[in-house]
Order: sequence, then C-alpha cells, then structure tokens
Amino acid sequence: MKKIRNFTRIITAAFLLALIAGPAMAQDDGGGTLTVRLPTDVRNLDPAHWFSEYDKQVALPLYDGLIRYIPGTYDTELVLARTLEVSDDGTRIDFTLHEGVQCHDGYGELTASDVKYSFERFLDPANPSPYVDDWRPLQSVEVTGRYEGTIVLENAFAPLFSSTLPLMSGAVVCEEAVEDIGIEAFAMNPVGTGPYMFGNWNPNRDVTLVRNPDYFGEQPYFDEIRFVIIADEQSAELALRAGEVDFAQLQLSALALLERDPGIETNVYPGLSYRWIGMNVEHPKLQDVRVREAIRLAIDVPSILIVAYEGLAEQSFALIAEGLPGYWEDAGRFDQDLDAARSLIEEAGADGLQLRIDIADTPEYRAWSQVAQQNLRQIGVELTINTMDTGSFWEIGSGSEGKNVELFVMSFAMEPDPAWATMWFTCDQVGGWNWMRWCSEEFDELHTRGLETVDEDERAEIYIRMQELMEEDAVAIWIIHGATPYGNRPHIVPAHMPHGSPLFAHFEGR
Amino acid sequence: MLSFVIQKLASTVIVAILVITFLSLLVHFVPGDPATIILGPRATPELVARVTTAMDLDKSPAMQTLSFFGRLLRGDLGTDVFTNRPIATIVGQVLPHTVILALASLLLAALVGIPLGVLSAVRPGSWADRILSLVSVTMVTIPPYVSGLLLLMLFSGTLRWLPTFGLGNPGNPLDYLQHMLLPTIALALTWIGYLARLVRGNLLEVLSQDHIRAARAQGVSQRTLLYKYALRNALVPTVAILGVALGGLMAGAVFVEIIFSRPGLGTLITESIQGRNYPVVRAATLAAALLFVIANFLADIANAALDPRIQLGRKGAA
Repeated sequence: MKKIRNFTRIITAAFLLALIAGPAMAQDDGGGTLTVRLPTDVRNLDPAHWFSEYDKQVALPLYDGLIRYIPGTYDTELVLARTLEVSDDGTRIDFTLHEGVQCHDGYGELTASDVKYSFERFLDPANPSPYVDDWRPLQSVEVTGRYEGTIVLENAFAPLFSSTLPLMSGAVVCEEAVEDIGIEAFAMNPVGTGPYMFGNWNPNRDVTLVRNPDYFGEQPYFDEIRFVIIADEQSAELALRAGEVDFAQLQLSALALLERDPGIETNVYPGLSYRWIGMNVEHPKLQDVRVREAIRLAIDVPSILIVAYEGLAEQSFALIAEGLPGYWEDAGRFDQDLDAARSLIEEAGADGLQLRIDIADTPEYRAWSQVAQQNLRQIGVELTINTMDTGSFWEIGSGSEGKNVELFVMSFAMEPDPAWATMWFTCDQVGGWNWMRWCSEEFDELHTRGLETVDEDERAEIYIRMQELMEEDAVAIWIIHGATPYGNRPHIVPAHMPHGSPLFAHFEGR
Repeated sequence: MLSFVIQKLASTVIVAILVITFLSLLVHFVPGDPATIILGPRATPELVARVTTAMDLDKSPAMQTLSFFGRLLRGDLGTDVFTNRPIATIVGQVLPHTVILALASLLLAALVGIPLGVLSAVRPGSWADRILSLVSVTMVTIPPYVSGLLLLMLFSGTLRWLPTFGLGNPGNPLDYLQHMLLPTIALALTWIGYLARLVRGNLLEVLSQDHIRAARAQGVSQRTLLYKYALRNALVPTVAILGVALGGLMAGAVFVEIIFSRPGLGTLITESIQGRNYPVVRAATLAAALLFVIANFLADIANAALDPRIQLGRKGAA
C-alpha cells in the first residue's frame, strides 16, 4: 500500500513539474513566426466591409493595391501597377498591371477586370459598403486590356491617392475568389495577392497569416504572422515581457515600467485622430464668441495632458495632424490666461455662467473634464460634468436634440487625408456629426474645393484657411491627435505608418 | 421522486422562458441606436437600415420576442452582422471552454474546500482551525479578478513558470492544462474558502445533534461517526450550494477569462457589449443563464436524492 502511495506521489509530482515546466514560449530568431498582440478579435477582413482598426491591420498584408505607403512616410510607391498616369483634369487614371501576379489559393492570375470588380463593388447597392465615400466620385473602371485599365471619376478626387488607393479601399481582391466563396463567407476567408495568405482563424483566440511563396514582389521576412487576442492590458504587458508576444500595442501607463526592461523597445506615435472639447455655437449660453474665447483661454491643455496622459501625449493646436497636407504650423497657441478670460466673460455679461459638459464614460475624458471644471471655476464659470454611457453619448448631438448640447468631449478617427477631418464640420452635418452646430459657407465651399484639388500646395492652403475659420469662431479646444504606444522584443524591427499604424508585411528581424 | 423531478423541471422551464423573454427585450433597455453605434459615422443610411433589419430592431418589442422564441425553437440564434457567421456557432465554439473552466474550478473548490472544512470541524478552536478560518475567510474576500492578476503576475510575470494568456492547444492536453491551471485556481479560490466555512459549520451542527451523541455513547469510533454519519448529512446543503456555486463561477469566469485572455462566454459577452453586438450578447447571456438554471435543477435533484425529506417538501417540518 505504501508503495502505491509513493508511486502516486511520484506521478503527481511529475505531472505538476511537467505542468509548470517549459510552457510554450518558443521565440523565433529571424524568420519564423512573428507573434502580435491584438486587443480584440477580427470581425471582417473584406476590404469593402472591415469594421475595426485591427481588422485593417490584419487584412493589409493579405492584399496589394495599385499603390501603397512606404513605411515611415506618407509617400507612396507602385505595387500592382507597373505604371499609373493621371490625366490633367484628374478624372482619368490609367494603370498597367504587372503580369503574372497570382491570386492566393490557386484562383489564377490577377487581371484588370479584378481591379474593376474590386473598386466598383464599393458602389454596389446590394452590398453597401461603409467606405463608399472612398469611391464616391467613381464612374467606372474601364478595362482596356488584360493588364490595362482606366479609373474614371466624375471629378478629380484628391483623397484617392492618400486614403483610398494606398489603403484598404484600394486593396484588390480576386473576383473569382469572392464569387466562389460568397461575399459573406469572404469576410473570414479572404483571398488577395499580398505577401501573406490567410492561414487560419480560431475565433477569440488567434489569426494566422502565412507567407505567400508565389508572391511576385519581395518576400516578407517572417514565415508567418500569428495575431493572438489579448484583451487585458496588463496581460499584454506580461506577455510581451515574458516573450510570448513579439509586438504589442500598449497603454501609456505601462511605459514607465517597460522602458526599464532591456528586453523591450517602446515607441509612442502621435496618431491622426483628433480629440477636442467642442462648444455648441447655437446654444444661448455659448452664442457669444467672447464666451467661447474665454473658455478657450481658461482651459489649461498642458494640465490635461499631464493628468490624462502622464505628459506623454503631444498637444494639438488645430484639426489636421502633422504630416498631412494642411497641417497648420502657425495655429494659435492659446496658453492659459485667466485674467483675459475673466475680462471676456465680463464683456460678454456672462458672469455666474453655469455650463454642462457631456462626456462618454472613460478615464481619459473624466480627467479632461475635471481639469476643465477646475480651470473654469477660476473664472467664475461653474461646469457640471455629465458622464454618460457610450451608447447614450453618441446620440446626444443628433437631430434637433443636439441644440441642447453645451460643451462636449469628442474624438474622431482619421484616414491620412485632411478631407476626412473637415467633412464632419460642414453645414449639412449640423444635426449629424457636427455637434458644434457651426456652419460656415466659406468652410463648406473650401471643403468641396479641397476634395477636388490635386495640387498639394494649393490643397494645403485650402485646409489651413478652413482651420483659421474654425479658430476665429472659437468653436473647439483641440487637445491631442492621439498617443499610441507600441512595444516590441529587440529582435524585431517594426514598420509603421507615420501615425503609428503598424505595417506587418514590412516587419523584419535583426 | 418522479413527481419531484417533473415539478422541478416545470419550474426550470418557467424560469428559462422568463429569462428568454427578458433577453429578447434587452436591447430596448439600452440607450442609443445600436446600428448607428456599431457602424460608426461613415455608415450610409442604407447600411444602417440593413443592420437594423438584420438585428430585428425594426420590429416591435412583442414581435421581437415572438420572433426570438420562434427562431430559438428552430435552434437559430441569427447571424452575426460582423462576421456573417451563425450566432449559435459563435456561442457553441466558446461555451465548452467556459464550462470546462467552471467545472474544473468547482472540482478544485470541492476537493480542497471540503477537506479543509472537515479539518477545521474535527478540532474546533484549535490553532489549525483558527489558521484555516483565517485563510478561508481571506479566500472568500478576494474577488477572482484580483487573485487572477496576482497569480498572473507571480507565476507568469515574475517566475515565468506558466503562460500568460490564451487557451493553449486543445489537441495537446498538457499544453491545455498549463493554460488552465492559473485561471482555475483564480476562479476556485473564493469557493474553496466558502465551502470550507460551510462544511465546517454544517459538520459542527451535525456533530452536536442527538443521534450523533447517541452513537458516540454506544462506542462508535470518531472516524466512523465523522465520515459515515455526520459528513453525509453535512454535505447535503453543500451539494445544494454547488449549483449556486456553478452560477457564481460562471460569473467569475467573465473576469478570469479577460485577465487570462481565454476564449469563453465571458470574453464573448464583454467584447460583444463593447461592440454593441446585441444579438451575440443576448445569445451568450442566454447560454450562461440556461447553464445556471440547469445546474440548479441538477443540484436540486442531487439534493433530493441525498435527502428524501426534500422530495416530500417536509424539510422544514423535520
């Protein structure tokens, strides 16, 4: 009996040892597998129907476009297109494809008719795409040869070369594959021509992309990319420190600790999104521009940055982020000036003003509004913070109900083109997404011109003027363009867009 | 016994129907237009309308409830508007992981908690009893997300003995167990403490009853008294509580699954709430609620089998 007990103990000990010894922490030194943390699972990898930033990050290596961004810059280079010529009026774009480009999974050679199919499907009313605006002026794609075609637009469309063709909306799918697989199943069975092919997807666990051995261009460094779903931020930090993931998006609060770890490299990217405190110019309390100017002078944005972002985010001074056409270097720096703010309130006869700020319930926005509350109290303005569930918050500015909004905190995502920033502040967006309810005919006219102006310098002037108009009317207090930290193991050389979005197909090892 | 089972089954079905009705109306309690929020500002009105229809949001609450029941009877929980996959498949893929985690935690809680309770009850007031009481009360007060984080930081972050996230490879039992060890412990800790306290209290109560004292007077050994007579009686309320424990473990699994990035009902519900994906929230919550109801039903049956007085509804009079 004693022997049996001893045997049981040995087996138990061996089992426990086996259980805790050597968990799967394999790490590849060059080539092999790149393991990347994804905060949420992917939901749709179809270029016309993707949902989240993470869908986009995972899908981009699967597809090629006619052009793409060169990592670290906003310059583009040809990919599928061997030649690309734009007519003088900007409405006809002739392209010639490389010959012999193969679709994944044996779906044959890519031709100009695949390009036609890929772009025109955005306008298909039977399968409406959320990204139809990327192709709004598209009339048709004319196929003039097996490898030649022309994109025909109703009017020149500058975002075509900045946010449509080089990104997801310009990704070329293989027509036969989409038709064979079916549009719905294609969401998670994507077929492109990119440097990586779709491997497999274990819902809520991981997604794997494998290197395309038949890729017509330069082969990527890693044999496969495995995206693992880690929702919890602290778990992601631990996984990076333990070497279980090679690359991870992090949170700012993690940086202080991770920067001391020699096994991890970190970088913070400023982003393109714009986050601001908006003021409803139609509200009786805020109709007087002097009141809005006073609020702008009272709120100390650097304090917000320290409280909400531990001082790691850069302040923004206007709508459009650095690096994009229309970035306004000379935008007004409204340093806190409480005396001037008090004088403006007095001039406007707004003594004893009581205001409300509506915010979605996040720690970030709570910090913003608490700082603003303290600052405004110093000029005699009482600010009530109305914290709301995200679902409720996104409704308050819509329709005529939006007239009741006073101050609010808002954040909009962006594509790398200034038009995607200005489009929400036109007059026809009042009651939609223009919660400031600010309407300027000149702004609207410039927005339309900006879309159709291809010359970059001329375009930059247009968008700077639009931002001047917003600044003159003191409709917003710009806070940041985002601040996204990433961490990687030292054997990885990441590749990013200038605003931080990772380009996994360009990742290398050292 | 049969009539008792039928009676319990009927009440279980009624509870299930109430749960389903509530869940079918869930979306109306939530502010905002889900379709607009899901699709974001760039969505066209046509797309919003399409998603609204797909999510049944264009129907009246009564019609939504009827439609939900009708589809449920056909085993159809709808199609996910994001991935175009059947929602039943989505829930079905993660459900086993949560059930396995909850059952493993329940097993661990019973295997550790009950002996600890017995150990305390055998020598009440002793140093061992006091230390075990302190330990078990501490366990009860630590929520799973706190114990989960502490375990993760210690065993995965500092010692690096165990993996930090995920499910492991289900085809490799050892790998799967490695990934399950910390979540199971994190989830079980509260119930280990609770069961230890419960068993100790019940056992002390039973040990003080007349029939035990009579048996002791007749010379029945302490060991026989404890394990043959007292423990069986003391375990009856424990079995009843296991059904509730399973529900509690399912709730705790939400946090543990997130901390350990483990696929399961918890992570599915959380992600779906964040994405305002109400049909999936509804289906996953329904699965969790039904598991809870079924666990309680099974606990009732097991309880009645252990204590025939319960079948006769005379427990209070006994």
